[in-house]
Amino acid sequence: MVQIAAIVLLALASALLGTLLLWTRAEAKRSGVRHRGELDAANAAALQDRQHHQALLDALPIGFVQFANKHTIRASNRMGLALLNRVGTPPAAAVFAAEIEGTSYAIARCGSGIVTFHSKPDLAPFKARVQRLVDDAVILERQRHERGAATLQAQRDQHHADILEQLARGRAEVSQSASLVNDAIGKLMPTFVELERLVRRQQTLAAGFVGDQSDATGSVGLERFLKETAAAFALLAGRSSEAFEASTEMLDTIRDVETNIDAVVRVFDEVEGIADQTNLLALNATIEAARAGAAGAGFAVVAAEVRKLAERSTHFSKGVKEQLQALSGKLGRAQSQIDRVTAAGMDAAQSSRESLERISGEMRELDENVGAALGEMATIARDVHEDVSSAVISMQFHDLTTQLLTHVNERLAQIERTADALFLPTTATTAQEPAPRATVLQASMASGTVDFF
Amino acid sequence: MKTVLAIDDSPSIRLMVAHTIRTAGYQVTEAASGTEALELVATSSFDMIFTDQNMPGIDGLTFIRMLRQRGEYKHTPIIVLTTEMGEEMKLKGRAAGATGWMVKPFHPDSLLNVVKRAIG
Repeated sequence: MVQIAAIVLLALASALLGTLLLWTRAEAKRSGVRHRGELDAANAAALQDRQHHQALLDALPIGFVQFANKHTIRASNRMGLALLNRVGTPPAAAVFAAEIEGTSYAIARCGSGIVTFHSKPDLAPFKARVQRLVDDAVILERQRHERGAATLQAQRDQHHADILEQLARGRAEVSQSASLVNDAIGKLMPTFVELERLVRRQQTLAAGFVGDQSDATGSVGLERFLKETAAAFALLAGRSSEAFEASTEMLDTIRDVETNIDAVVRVFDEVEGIADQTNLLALNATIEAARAGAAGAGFAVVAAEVRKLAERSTHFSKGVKEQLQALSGKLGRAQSQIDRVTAAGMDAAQSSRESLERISGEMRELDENVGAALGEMATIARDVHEDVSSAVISMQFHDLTTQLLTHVNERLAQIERTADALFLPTTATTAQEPAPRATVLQASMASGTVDFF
Repeated sequence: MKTVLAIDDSPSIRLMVAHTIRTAGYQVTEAASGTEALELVATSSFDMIFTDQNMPGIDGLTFIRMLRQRGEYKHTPIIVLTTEMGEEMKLKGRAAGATGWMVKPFHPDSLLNVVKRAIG
């Protein structure tokens, strides 16, 4: 009887446990469906991801296991693995514990797909508890997924905002670069142009200063000045030479005059001697007349007159000689003065000649130096022209880079629109404008070609 | 004195063109756009025109087409001075009525040679 009762009890227990097993499996299946349904609703694409699905299973606070066969149980999620690790891989009737939020349930496996409870569980609370746990798990997962989705959307929005901000900054910096380049070229180019203009002006002025022709200001060229100065010096030297020759001639004349004066003086000396002899003869005649007495009275008168004439002749001769000597003295002084003047003139002429030669040499040297400097200036002007030409070519990079920067800005705008389409689903269907056409193909600053049609 | 109109939206390019041509003794007028150039050609006459292609508003080829419709500019030498170097664009320029096509960057001497060749 006892055995029968035990068998009945065992059968009832088996039936009860079978019912519980069926409910548990149905619940587990239902919760799984709901879980997958939630995931599908949240993100179909994510659910297709096996790893994401596994992560969701792992995050659940319920151990999921699969009975591979009578002796083998495989963990389907992390909690299931923890349970298996705790009890080991069970044999057919292995027992393991599931700890869910601190509540222990002893679950026994009895044969494939059969679960029995070794304790006497209050099935109603257990069912409610399991249902609640499943519901909580689903809600938790839904919330978690929603939070994840919200976080993901917030992250996408943040990325979108970051991209737009970076693009805006990039475009602003591109515009700033273009502005800086434009400003620099705007100042640099006039500077080069002015430099070339000044060099040209300098060369023109120098050529006008040195050259024979006068420039626009009417100033006289250095070359002409040098020529005229040399001519003036030559004229001065010529005049000095003429003056020297005239002075020499004058001195010769004075010397001739002095010679003549000396000759005249000598003549008057002779005259004076004759007068003295005449006087002596007249005196003798007077004496002889006195000796002759009355017969010689007339002769004495004549002799006296002759003596007077002789005395007058002597007096005249002396007077003339004095005048001639005075004249000779004055001529001598004049000669001395002319000598000094002539000597000074000779010195001046010599000095002028030497100065002329020296100055002419210096002028020739100056002329050569100025000519060389002018030639060098012309070379410099040509070099500056070439450099400015090169600068003109190089500075056209501004036009090229400005156009390139414009293209960069257009491309950034294109990226911005693409980012909008990527992050804002409502704009995804907006027609995308074509990318800007590259119009600047130059790869260097070598000057371009010229074609006549 | 021969007169040249230089059209370019880049002030520095206009300055370079004007400086180069003025230095050789030509009179140069500058325009910053095709629209401004059209106003200038309506009130002044020019012996030769340089125009950029890529400009805001009226581009160079459009300007040439509009200008060629004016009787007084039917045979005026018009050189497109541009960064565009593609053969396709050159053909379009020729079809629009351009006299020549000069690719930037230009050498000042080359620019001057073009002027002398066109108007002496």
